[in-house]
Amino acid sequence: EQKLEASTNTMSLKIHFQGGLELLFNNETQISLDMPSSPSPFTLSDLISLLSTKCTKQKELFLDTAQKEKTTVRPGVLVLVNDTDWDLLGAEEYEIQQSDDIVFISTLHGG
Amino acid sequence: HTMTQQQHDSCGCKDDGDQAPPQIQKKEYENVEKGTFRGRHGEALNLSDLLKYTNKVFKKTLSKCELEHGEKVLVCYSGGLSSTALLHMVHSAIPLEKRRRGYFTWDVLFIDVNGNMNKDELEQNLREQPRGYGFEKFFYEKSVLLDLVKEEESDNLKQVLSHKIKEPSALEDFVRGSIEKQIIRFAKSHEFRKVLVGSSANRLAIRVLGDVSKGRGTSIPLMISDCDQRHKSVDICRPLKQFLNKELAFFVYLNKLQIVHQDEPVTMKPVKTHSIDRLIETFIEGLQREFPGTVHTILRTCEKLKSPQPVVSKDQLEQNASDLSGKTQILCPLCNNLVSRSELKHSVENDEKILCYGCKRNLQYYAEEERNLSEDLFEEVRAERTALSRSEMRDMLKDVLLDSANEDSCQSGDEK
Repeated sequence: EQKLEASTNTMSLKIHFQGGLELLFNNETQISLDMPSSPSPFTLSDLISLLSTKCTKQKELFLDTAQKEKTTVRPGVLVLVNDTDWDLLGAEEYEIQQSDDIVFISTLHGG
Repeated sequence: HTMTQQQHDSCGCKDDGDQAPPQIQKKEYENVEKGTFRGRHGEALNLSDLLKYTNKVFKKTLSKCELEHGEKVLVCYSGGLSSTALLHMVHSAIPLEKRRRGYFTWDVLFIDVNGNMNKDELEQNLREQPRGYGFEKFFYEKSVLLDLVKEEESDNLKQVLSHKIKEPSALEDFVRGSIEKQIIRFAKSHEFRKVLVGSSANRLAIRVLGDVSKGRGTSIPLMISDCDQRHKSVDICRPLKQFLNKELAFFVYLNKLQIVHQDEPVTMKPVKTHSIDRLIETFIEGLQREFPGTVHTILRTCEKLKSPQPVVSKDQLEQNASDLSGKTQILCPLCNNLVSRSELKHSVENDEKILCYGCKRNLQYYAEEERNLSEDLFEEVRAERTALSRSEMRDMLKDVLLDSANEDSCQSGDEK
């Protein structure tokens, strides 16, 4: 299990990768993340940006690089927060809470 | 926020092809039930809703496969989301009592693409799934792709294949065609008449647009059919064709099913320089995210296409190639798609190997030493050609007999 550290620990998250996405994150199916303290909310968009810059080798396989207006995952990658579809929670604008369990599942290729 | 029964009953039939789902406001999502996902019409579905829906739609699609009571069926399993969901749904669909309508037995086939999986572990994982799947036998085979590389190179399957076939589209087509042929061969040798595959709606939509762009449009009606009978003694059934990838992913996740990821034997490249199918996948998935009816609109449109009737008369054979839009019963030995009549005529006239248009184009991307395809590949093609010649002859005789009958009736009419 890989751990990403930030300057000051305030919130801890568990992030899971499934459906082949783990290949983009050094074959790690689970990452623990300590979020930096900040007055502004830390959204899923911020998390995706963080993951794409720090963990993935080919970020266009995770990040939707065609999207200029917002930072989001590539189409075909599903995101769940506490077993719930992020589409029901505001998608990229969802503000991450303490101990949130976040899962990224790729439905691309394969079968 | 869970759907009403009325909404649920209709959700499997309708698709709002052109409308994006409404945006969820923050106040709304504070009350969202845990373990729910957004359905194709924007409604929130929980596991119970999902199970009812999948059960209903799966049984309906399965019934179109015309399985006989007590028949033995082969279910293909790759470890991915779709085929994992397929196993679970098959198990749920079979009645517990053998005498009940819809009862059949099933075996599982796993093809290990890279040759590095453990057969016993795979079987044990399946047997230990939450409901204990009731399949009889678990068959494991290493993919035929491994026969193309030396044993010491088997860990570098990707690199070896990419040297043999440089262009990603051609390589993907070759890999897919080889594995499909392996499945068919296995089914025939073990006397399975029906093979169930986990092709989701997304996968099929990508496949049809991809094959259209590669000149294989003739086979589209077969490709999206519930029961594909192009292989004669073996039918390929697609009971998941109504399900979106998202629905299958949630089905697997919420049911806590374990998936097994197999690394694809095609080198990972950035999407823009990858294969035609990957580009189309990006295109369709992007549209689907904004307009959830996209995939089903593509499939519904394709279902309106019909393959042209086989050419049956000598006169049609003598027409110019550009007029010949009929299909033959000959399958391309590389990709298993139908070879059009014009391609067949062109190949015969120019003494070329009989391949579909798409595979002929792909050959130019094969390494020089790989372009001489083995004669064994064309054995079935030769058999089909001989059979076709006999049916052509029968039709020619039929035309002659009809002409004679017309002459006789004219003469008798004149006499009257």
